[in-house]
Amino acid sequence: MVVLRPDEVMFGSSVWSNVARVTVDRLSTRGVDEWDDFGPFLVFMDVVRQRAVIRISQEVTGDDFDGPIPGELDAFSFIGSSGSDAGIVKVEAEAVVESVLHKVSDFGSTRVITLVAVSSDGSVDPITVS
Amino acid sequence: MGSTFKGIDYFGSGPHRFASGRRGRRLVALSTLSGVVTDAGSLEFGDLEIRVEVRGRLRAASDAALWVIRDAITAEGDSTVGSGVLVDHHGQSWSTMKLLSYEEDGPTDRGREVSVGYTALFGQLVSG
Repeated sequence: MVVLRPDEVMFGSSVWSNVARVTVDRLSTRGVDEWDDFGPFLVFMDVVRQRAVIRISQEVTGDDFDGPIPGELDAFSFIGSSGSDAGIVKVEAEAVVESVLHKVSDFGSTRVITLVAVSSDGSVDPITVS
Repeated sequence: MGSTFKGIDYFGSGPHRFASGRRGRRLVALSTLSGVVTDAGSLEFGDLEIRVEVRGRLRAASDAALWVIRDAITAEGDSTVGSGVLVDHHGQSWSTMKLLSYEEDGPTDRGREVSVGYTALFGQLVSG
C-alpha cells in the first residue's frame, strides 16, 4: 500500500505534518514449505508468521526536537484521498515504533518513521482500511 | 498413489516423505556383555529391526479438524494396538509394522491453513 501526501497522519495524540508518503509493507517472517515423494517441486507453502510494516516519510523543514521513541505503542491512522470525498480512505492500526531515522542533505531533510502493526489477538489483520 | 497404513490414508492431508532407517547386522560390543571395558570387538545378534520414518505436515481447515487427524494417528501408537502393513506413495510395502512414535516438529502453525510438521516412526519388531 502506498499513499502519497496523505491528508492527516496521527500517532496517538500527535499529528505528523508534511508527510510525503506512507507505505504499508507486508512481510513473511516465517514460511512453511514442503515437498512430497513424487518429484522435485514444492507442493505446499504457507506463511505462518507475518509482519505489517508502516513507513512514514516526513519532510523536516526546520529544527525538530520531537519525534516518537522506539517501543512506543499507540493508535496510528492516516487518511488518503483521490481528491474527492468518494475516494477518502482511512487506514488505522495499533502500532509500535520500531525506528526513527533522519536523512539530511543540502536539498532537504527527511524523517523516516518505521512502525510495526500489532494485531489484537493474532488472527485479526492489524491494518484496517475503511 | 497415496500412502497407507493398515489401508488407511493417515497422512494424506498434507505432503509427507518416507525414509528408511538403518539396516544391517545388530552388533553388541563384547565389553558390554563381559563388563570388562578392555575387551575389544563385538558380536552379532541377528539383524537390526526395520524402521521407517514418515515426515510431513498435517493440514486442516481448523484446529478441531487437525485434532481429528492427529488423534487418529496417535491412536495407532497405543501399546495395545496391533501391527499392519505400511505402504509408501510408490507401492513399497512393509508388513507387520507398528507406529512406535509420533512427534511434532513444533507448535501448530496457523496461516492460510492450520498445519503442523511431524515425524512418525514405524517399526517391525522381532517381538511381534
